[in-house]
Amino acid sequence: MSTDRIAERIKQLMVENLTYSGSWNEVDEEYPLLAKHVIDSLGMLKLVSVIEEEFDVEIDDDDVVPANWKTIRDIAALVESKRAE
Amino acid sequence: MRLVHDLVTESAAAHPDRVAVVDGDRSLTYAELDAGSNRLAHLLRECGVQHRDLVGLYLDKSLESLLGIYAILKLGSAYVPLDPAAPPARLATIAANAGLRCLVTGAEKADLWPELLREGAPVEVLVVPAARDGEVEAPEGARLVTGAALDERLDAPPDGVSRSDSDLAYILYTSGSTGVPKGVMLSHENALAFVDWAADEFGVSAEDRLSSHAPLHFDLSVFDLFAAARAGAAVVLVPDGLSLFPLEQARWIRDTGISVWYSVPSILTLLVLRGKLAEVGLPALRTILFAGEVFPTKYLHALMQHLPHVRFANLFGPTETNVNTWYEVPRWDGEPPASIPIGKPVRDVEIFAVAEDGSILDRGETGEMHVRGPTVMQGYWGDAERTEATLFHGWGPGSSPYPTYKTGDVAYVDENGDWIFLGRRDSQIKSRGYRIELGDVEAALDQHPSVLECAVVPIPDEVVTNRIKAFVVTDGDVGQEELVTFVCERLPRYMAPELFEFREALPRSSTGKVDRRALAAASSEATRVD
Repeated sequence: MSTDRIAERIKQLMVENLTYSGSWNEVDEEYPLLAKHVIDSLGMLKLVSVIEEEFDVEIDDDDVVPANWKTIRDIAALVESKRAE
Repeated sequence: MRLVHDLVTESAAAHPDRVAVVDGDRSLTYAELDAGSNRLAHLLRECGVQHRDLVGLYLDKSLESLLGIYAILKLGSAYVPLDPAAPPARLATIAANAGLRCLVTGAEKADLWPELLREGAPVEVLVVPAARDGEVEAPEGARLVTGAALDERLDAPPDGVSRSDSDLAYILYTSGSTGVPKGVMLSHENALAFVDWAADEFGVSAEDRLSSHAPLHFDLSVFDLFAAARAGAAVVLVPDGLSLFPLEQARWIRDTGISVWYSVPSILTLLVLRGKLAEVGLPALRTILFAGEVFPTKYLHALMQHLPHVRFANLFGPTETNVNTWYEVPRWDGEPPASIPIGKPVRDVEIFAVAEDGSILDRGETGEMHVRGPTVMQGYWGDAERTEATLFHGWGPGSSPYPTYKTGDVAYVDENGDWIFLGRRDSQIKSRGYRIELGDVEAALDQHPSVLECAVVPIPDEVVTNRIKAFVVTDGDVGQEELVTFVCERLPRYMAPELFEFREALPRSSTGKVDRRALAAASSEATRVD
């Protein structure tokens, strides 16, 4: 699966699993997820578990740090690195 | 007689150089907090704020919000914290209800000021203590006063302010069943009765560092801010968004040396699940208080096992009574019980279980909790009808100078003398520690032109207590995404339904009412996150 395809799928998972008050149309790969409060604390827990399931990867507690979740591209990069392990 | 802001003034006199508040890499000593809030009080007075006025606070939690709180109190006025994350339309309703003419605000909210005013907030002056002239622009229809107008010479308290501990200290707006938020009025006496008890019970001292996690419009913040000020301890503001990252949060608690933590349980559950507590270690932490929702005992037990040196207590009570009961969680050998009590009344508070007919029940019998004591509110702002329906003077056995609040909470006292909470009499629910009236959510959905009918029900969840599910009948022109956005334009995000089900019609009971019980039963697919 290409990075673009992973990113696309991550966005779908976010739309399906997060309650977000803004417009999803604006949320592209570079959209600042944390600054714009797209993800809240319990949404994060949910997102981690659905991403683990969807991509068959294990996301460690150490991976749940801001650097990996700032944008959809960051999350896709994290998923790719986990798939490579 | 003591007032809430005296806590700061007294601590500033006793140890001026102690740190009062920490916000990231910025901090204020008690001397700075005291003098700074005096200066801001003088400025607010120039802006027309007078004794017994209500002043809004509309900014992210920061040093400035604390300066704002104490400045407002020092004028004998009361602060009304507006949820910085709520949509302007909702806040405008609150501002109009409270008649807020003056807001202490921050530049980070500048792009929302125009909408707030357009939506009907009666604000005439915006005070932005952290900004300098030219940094922000006044919205049409209001005057802007920046920190440049603060007079450095005016660091003595404003004079001629009359003092009464029955004056309001703050008004906290909570969800209302008809779509209009309710303003819970708390006096200085109400606040201090709780703060004095809590600070004594949990031994808060000048050596402590208290976390401040809850937003200011949430009554948990009252303990953090004022118990710290009372002891001359530091209150450390938890950075926005930190709770998304449990491991970072655990490290933050360790690195900031937090000794007393107070939050809703779901944040602590995240710490247990993903905070690597065994590795991080929290040596300075000595007390964890939680409130606002049920703490699933399996997570509580796990947390207690990670933190064998920490004291745990469950605090309980609606905003209307501050906190009315508390329970010290014992260390369990083996399996924890399925749930824990809400415990015994706090100091000077009496609680009665009352039957439908108004009679006071015996110990062990289940009834509606009626709470009498110094922590009980003064009423709902601008709503005499609702106040009269729930707040009684001269009620109950014996004589008491305090009013009684009819809480809507159903409970009984067990064989140990502990109160056991069973649920609510009405359709108020808890989700993530927030109190939500389902009617408030339905009223927002009903405003959508394509929504023909709707019913909102709670779906029990072991981490967040409840998730909100909406059953909606539409004309076919609207989907879930649009409805979420629509609701979030009117209500805080935590009130937006997470689950939707579109139906042709809603089930009815024999009386013709929407059968919410049937809907709730039909959606018993319990959600789990771990």
